Amino acid sequence: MNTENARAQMRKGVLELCVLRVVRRGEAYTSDLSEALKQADLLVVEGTLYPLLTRLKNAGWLEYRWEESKSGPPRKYYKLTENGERLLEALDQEWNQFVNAVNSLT
Amino acid sequence: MKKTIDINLAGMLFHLDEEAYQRILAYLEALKKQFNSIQGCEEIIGDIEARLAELFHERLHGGKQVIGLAEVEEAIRTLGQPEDFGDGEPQPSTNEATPSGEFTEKRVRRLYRDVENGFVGGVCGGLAAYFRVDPVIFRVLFLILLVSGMGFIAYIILWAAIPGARTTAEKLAMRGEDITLDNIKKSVEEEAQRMKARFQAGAEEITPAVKRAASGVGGATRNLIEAIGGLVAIVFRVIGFFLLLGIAAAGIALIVVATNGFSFESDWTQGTPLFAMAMTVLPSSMNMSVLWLATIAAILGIIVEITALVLRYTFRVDIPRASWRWIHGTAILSSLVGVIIWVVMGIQMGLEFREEARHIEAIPLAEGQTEWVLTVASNELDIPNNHLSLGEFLDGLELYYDGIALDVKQSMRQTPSLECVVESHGANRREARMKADRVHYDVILQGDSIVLGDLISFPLDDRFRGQNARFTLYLPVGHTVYLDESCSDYLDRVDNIDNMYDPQMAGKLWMMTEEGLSLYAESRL
Repeated sequence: MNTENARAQMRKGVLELCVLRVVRRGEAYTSDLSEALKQADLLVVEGTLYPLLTRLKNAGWLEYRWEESKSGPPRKYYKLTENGERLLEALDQEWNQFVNAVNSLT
Repeated sequence: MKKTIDINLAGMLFHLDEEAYQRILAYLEALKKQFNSIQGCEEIIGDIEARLAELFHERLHGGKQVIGLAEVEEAIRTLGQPEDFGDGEPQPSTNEATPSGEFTEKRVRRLYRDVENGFVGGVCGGLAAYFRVDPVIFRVLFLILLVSGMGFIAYIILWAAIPGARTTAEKLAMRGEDITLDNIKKSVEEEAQRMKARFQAGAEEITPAVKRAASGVGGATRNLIEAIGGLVAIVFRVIGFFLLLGIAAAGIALIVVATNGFSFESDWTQGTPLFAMAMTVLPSSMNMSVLWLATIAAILGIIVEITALVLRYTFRVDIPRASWRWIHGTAILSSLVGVIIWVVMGIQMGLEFREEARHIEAIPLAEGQTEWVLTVASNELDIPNNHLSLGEFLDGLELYYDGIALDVKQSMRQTPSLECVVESHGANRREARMKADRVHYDVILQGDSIVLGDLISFPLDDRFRGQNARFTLYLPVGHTVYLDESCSDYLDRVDNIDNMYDPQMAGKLWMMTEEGLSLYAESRL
């Protein structure tokens, strides 16, 4: 079995949770996000983030403000909404249960 | 020396060399295709463009002026290929690594509004970019049309139907590749290659002999497609363009007729026969403008729908899903409202036929006469198809209707008489009665001659509610009547002992006998 393929599928599955967790640390700009996720080896290409962020924002879990940038166009800084915080807590629990469930099989 | 092209990404200007430009154009197009079906597509593309701008900006710090292919490739590597933008939703992965340069897929120019350079909505600029001509040509064209009152509608329709070029991808697509014979040939060749590959892939599962044959077929097919494909592409667009022109013309015609329709109440001679018919039967509580608005709403809905379809499938205008739904919904709603108003009007009209009432008048005839002549005098009005017509009376509009019928019966008394029964329908008995009372008919009596006008008339406000007049000549036994030829269309189930059909009875002399009406002579004595 191709582990790389399975790994990619797993990454996709948890990307939403990971993005929310990074944003919880503090307001984040897209490349901050991608940097953090890439370091954690949870993200391959930055482009994946854009549709995800837009979707989370439209769902009311994230909000952003504009900030001027010296090196390019204005940037969007994302942070969690109250709804987003609640969702993330629920997702954290889900994740722990999931990990325990998977580990219990060994 | 290399040619550079300026592009605007998220409000920043960059000089790109030709290769870099083609690459970024393809990349943005591919992105757009990828996200087209997702909500917030424009926002996503906008974010990505902003990030590209940032990445390019970083590259330019070292004193570099022009973005080359290497910078573009690097930025794309950072952002990733569109196929990898799965949005966290699991989807079947394509395990082959996508080679860069995969985006040589077609970059056909699309019709967008040139929002930035437009005077009004950018329609002319967009059309000009699509047809590769100077926008002035379209602007002058629209101005000419505007003078005649047509350009406005056409412009509004196009404005609503063509999306504005907002993201850079759209702006590039708007200018896109030229539709030259070379490009068409190229895209047709690509198609042919793909087809050949399919043929071969299919053949591999069969025998090698068939495979060779199929490859031959593939080659032959390619030549054929090459020849035809280019023409077809052009023909389709030309047809689409004319279809749009036709739709615009139809819309204009509709408005012209509609405005004539509004003036109809004051000058009926300008109206169409169909329109006159509608006007005569309209529910009495409504006027023509309601019918017109309903008709316009219904037809406009259809026009908008067809326009959008043509733009989408012939000109490959990329209408975002949300706008598409919006256009679609508005068009259907508009047509639906129109049709519902029609139906309501129809029902109300029907209800106004519910009750029936009559008005009876007995007209005494001169005594001493025993030989009568019955004639129907034609009014000088020119009535199409012998039906309803409108005429102007001094006090407002009147309807004329050839709703008369003639009958001859035996009189129970010694004296002859002419009875006129006027019938009408109405929403209730009282209204029907009033409508019947208001019906005017003409009877001229002079000696032995009875002349009836062939038309009855009633006020337009009464509408046509089945008004008709039935004249019955009551003759004592022994009296004769000559039914003039002019009666032939109006005689209605006249009992006679010769069992002759109504139309044949005209032009003959009849006598009332104890048994009933009897043929007396084939002609007037």
